[in-house]
Amino acid sequence: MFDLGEVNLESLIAAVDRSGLTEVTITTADGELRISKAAPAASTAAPAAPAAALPVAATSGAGTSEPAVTAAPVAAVVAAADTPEGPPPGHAHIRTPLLGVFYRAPEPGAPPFVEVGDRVEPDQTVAIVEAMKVFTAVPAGVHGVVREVLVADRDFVEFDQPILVVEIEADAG
Amino acid sequence: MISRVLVANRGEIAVRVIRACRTVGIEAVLAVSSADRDSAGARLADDTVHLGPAPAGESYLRPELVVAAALGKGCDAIHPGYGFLAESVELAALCEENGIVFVGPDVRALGQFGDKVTARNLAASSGVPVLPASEPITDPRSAPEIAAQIGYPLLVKAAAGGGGKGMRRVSAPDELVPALELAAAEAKAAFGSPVVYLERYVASSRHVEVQVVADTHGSVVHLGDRDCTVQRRHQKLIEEAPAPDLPPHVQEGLRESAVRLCRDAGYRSVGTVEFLVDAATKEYYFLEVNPRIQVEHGVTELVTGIDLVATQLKVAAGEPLPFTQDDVEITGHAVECRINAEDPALGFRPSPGRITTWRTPATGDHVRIDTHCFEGYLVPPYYDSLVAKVMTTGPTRDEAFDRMDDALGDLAIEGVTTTRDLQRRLIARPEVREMTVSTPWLDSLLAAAGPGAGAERPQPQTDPKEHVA
Repeated sequence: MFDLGEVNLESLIAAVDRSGLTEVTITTADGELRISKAAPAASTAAPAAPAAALPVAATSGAGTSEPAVTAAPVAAVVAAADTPEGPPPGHAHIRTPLLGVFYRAPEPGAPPFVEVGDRVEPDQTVAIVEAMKVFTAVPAGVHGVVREVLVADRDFVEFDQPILVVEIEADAG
Repeated sequence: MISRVLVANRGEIAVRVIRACRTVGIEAVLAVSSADRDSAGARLADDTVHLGPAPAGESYLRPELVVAAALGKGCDAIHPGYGFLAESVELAALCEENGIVFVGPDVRALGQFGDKVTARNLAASSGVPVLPASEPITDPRSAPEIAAQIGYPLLVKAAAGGGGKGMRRVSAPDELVPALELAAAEAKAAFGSPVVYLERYVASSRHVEVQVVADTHGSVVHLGDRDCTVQRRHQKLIEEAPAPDLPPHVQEGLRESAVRLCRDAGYRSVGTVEFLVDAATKEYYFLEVNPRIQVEHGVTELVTGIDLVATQLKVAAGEPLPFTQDDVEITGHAVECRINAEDPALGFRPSPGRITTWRTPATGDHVRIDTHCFEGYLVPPYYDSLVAKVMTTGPTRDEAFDRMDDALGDLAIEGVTTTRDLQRRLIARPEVREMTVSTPWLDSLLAAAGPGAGAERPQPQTDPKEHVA
């Protein structure tokens, strides 16, 4: 059984910070652990716990004393209740860093970057997302084993949409 | 034919566009950033698409994401609203390449009117009065001679400008070169282009604009004018329709000039031709064309009974205008106060946060409120601060303003600081009621009142002539 108490939070946060991921969610029987680099997407899971490092607003708002937003310089961790969209306990979602068309393989006919059952490293490319002919590689961001591919090849994906479910393994390096 | 529109905007205009889509029977998909997934527009739309993170530079300001979102969601048109990408040549061009209708003018018109010097020359060639001005200043050493021909005082203006950025007033020759340098640097920072030119400055002037709508079949119609003279740092605060206190020949001249310019330029969609009116002589001069739906379009809708956004969607789909110039009747008067989440006592610092109380006046025959806010809504810190547009009408200008006072009195917003109280004081000012204001008026008033001016409680409003600064 995966226990939140056994997680090395510092190495997890560091791994997320190094990765291209904006958010990793780990669900256990005790609840949910979310590590987020950007503002929380619809923060349904954590109404009372502002999670994110807020990028400075282009026009306004920076430095104002709005109580519901707190600036954090590094990845923040939020423990929250289960969400219907969350991954199974001990697993993480790999999410798209941008909106576009999801590609499982580097080119048509080539084998997919990853298959279910493959072990992935944080820097490993697991998919490509294309918006207007600009191709962006999606790194795994975590150590683990791919358990599910949530999106079909060439499907349209939105920003921050879960694309893979990865069973988390302890950080080997 | 349009069946599904991607609304590439947020806030009140997203709500407004979605409602117009319903009116004309088009599905609306709202593109949202991470900060707007739970917005009123998102609830109202038929579908949403998560465009990107909260900062506009990573979401609403990315043409390639907007077009990819439209393609991914099966939309055949994109409505850009105002601000963000509304005047983006890049977005319009990407739409064209991908077979998507851009709900606005074509790429050529956007390019022409996006460059102030080109726009000015177009206006002049259509016989529209323009102020004495120069071509772009390429060599600062030539500037003094050119400036002498135009005459002082004058303005240094950014060719790619808008909203007062890259603009400097020069009252004497020795100020010219420093002003050129500052304006060019500001223009480069704000618009990516340092190109500036010189234009005669009219010390006391009003801002009057004409609403135009054009279809793809050669029909160009004006829907009357608006006055937007009450501005703070070039940002409009109060707008009204029709523009009051103009001699009939001036009003006709403005309206005809606007139609002529748009017809000659082959313009389509809704657009606004802005003019400066010399407060003393009432002579008018072309300022610029805003090739988009504007914030203040509602006051024109209220006096004409024409739904501008629905009309914009129809002409974008290739339909002919459903009315002619003779069908357009302007009835009564309408005024709009913009309510911003800003603190006038703190230099109009933005005041984002959770709205804890949100009570609006009863809307109906004489009161209209365009807003995306509600009790419990979090005004995000990323975007502009407009929270509501309060509009009132009346058979006369005075009655419209009296109703505005009532409406603002019934508007209660807590949790964020707003410009409501300031607006209530402004609409009671004799200068506003008697239309003796000029565009620098409010800035002077606020400067004279000191930094804490906005913190005062509203004075009793029984006598509109009472001094309430």
